[in-house]
Amino acid sequence: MNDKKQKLKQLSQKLKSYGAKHFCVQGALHIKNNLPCQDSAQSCLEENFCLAVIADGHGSAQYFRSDRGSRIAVEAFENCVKEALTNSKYYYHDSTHPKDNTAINLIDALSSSRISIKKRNHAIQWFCQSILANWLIAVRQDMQNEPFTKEEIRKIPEKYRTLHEKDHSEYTSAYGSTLIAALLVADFCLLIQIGDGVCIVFDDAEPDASSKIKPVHKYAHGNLVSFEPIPVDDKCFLNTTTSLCDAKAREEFRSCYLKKLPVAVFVSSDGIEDCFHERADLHKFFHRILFDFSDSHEAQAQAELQAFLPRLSEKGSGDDMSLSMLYDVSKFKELTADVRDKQLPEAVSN
Amino acid sequence: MGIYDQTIMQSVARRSMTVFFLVDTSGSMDGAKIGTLNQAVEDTLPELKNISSSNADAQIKVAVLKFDTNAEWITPVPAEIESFQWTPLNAGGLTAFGEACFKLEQKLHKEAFMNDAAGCFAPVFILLSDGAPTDSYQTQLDKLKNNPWFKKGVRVAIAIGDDTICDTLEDFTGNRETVLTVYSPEMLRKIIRFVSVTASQVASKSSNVGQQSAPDQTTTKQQDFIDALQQSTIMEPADDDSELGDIEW
Repeated sequence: MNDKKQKLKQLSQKLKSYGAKHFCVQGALHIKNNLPCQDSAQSCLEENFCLAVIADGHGSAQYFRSDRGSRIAVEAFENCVKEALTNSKYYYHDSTHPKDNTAINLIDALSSSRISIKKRNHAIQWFCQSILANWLIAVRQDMQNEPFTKEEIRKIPEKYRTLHEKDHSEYTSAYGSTLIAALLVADFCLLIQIGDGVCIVFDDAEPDASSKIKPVHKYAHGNLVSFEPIPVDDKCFLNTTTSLCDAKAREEFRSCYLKKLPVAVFVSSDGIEDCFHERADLHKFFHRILFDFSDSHEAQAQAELQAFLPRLSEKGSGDDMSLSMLYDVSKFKELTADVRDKQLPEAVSN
Repeated sequence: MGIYDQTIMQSVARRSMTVFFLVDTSGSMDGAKIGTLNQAVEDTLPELKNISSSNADAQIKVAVLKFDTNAEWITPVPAEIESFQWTPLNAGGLTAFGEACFKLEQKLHKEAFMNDAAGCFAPVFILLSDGAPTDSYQTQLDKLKNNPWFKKGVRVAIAIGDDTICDTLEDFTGNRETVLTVYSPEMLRKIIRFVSVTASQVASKSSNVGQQSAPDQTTTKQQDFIDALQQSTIMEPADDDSELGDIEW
């Protein structure tokens, strides 16, 4: 075994202490209004990576297949990760640097310490575009397999209807959805997002200044800190969001690269975010979840959260709720050992 | 009841929707105008309370900014409608509309009145005025019009009497349809009630729960309000004209 493979194997050992869980429940108002659940969620642990992903399909009438769109988005992310990390023939092609090694594996592109930030960002951009392409291909395939019904065509806005009549694969907006995903590989964490929703990371410290990450909403919880490292997009405001179905979707992905594996990472739809007026309470909720999963039997913790989310939706936003999480239980226990039998520390704004 | 119900549920709240009343309290409003306005808003509060309590989607809050020679917030922060009490306003002085725009814009930020940001509905802005601004207002109004909360909100103006400069009010709301002119105390009472209730219903309904739209969305809450206005008969003359009261201003 060469040194590189040996190193990767050693690094992959770190992933073995992680747990991965995902939840997706129909919102109270969706039940009341007889709307399907338009969120989707997935998480998985593999030998050399773990991922957590959620997608939130748009609800207006013109996005009439957004429940499928969110499911396809989650699958697209999973497919692209597997393709990039398990298929040795997958290459990220760096066309901007023809004199360099022009074709490198994505994992090398992201994990190499010698790579420049610019080149890494380029690799991430490439990866996001592959997710978008994968989503569009699957959406068009779904439209071919099951063409829009007359009732669905009536929901297409006037200005797009003529276009759809000419080319039946063009109205992909019917499947409009957001996407937030976290990927842990070897010694790094990649977070990507298009649209609204939230990604919260828990670790023993926030990213150092050299990372150039400027997290918003930072809170301290005893020896842990939680923060939101993905840059905010001002276009996601009130009921407007960017989307995989946007014409300029490829430019609307935001991302964040963390040079170390965090204690935990949560991705969730705005249905959960909108239940809490105080941002600190949202962070406290996720902190509480970590405590529960590290204290209780995993199946019991899972059942408890699964049962709580519909009640949260009913009292709070009324919206669908999706949540996906990756967490290192042993590290979390180690960092919270001094407060395990005491009350949870209050979230304190930094 | 599980662990989350005990520890988390207490911090869970409905989304909130704030109704901003921007009230001209200049000298020309003195007398019947301000008296009717005070009574009309007070009479409308129970209906807003009903909307808030019977609507699982949104908690209604109220914020009041009065402007005469200066602009001043009557509510230091948006007040929950259930506990809100209208303080009767007095009239006197000039019409510092520009300062009112400035003070409103200052509060339309996450760090100010919109700190429920994660769970907010687009707000409602109800401007009540009977005259023309006496200060240089255009720069402040333009700045307000660029504020994202203002742009997303339902904006409506009630012009009290013939002397009102409707162009300014139209500039504020962005539509001629949402400038409603009233000529009598009875009409003012009816319009205040109609506008407050209808705009609150439109703005607080759950149409955006799970219904976020991509940026090319074609409908807005402002358009929804205009539709509601056009479907109503509120601005049509009543069969019995006396119902509207005599023209008193």
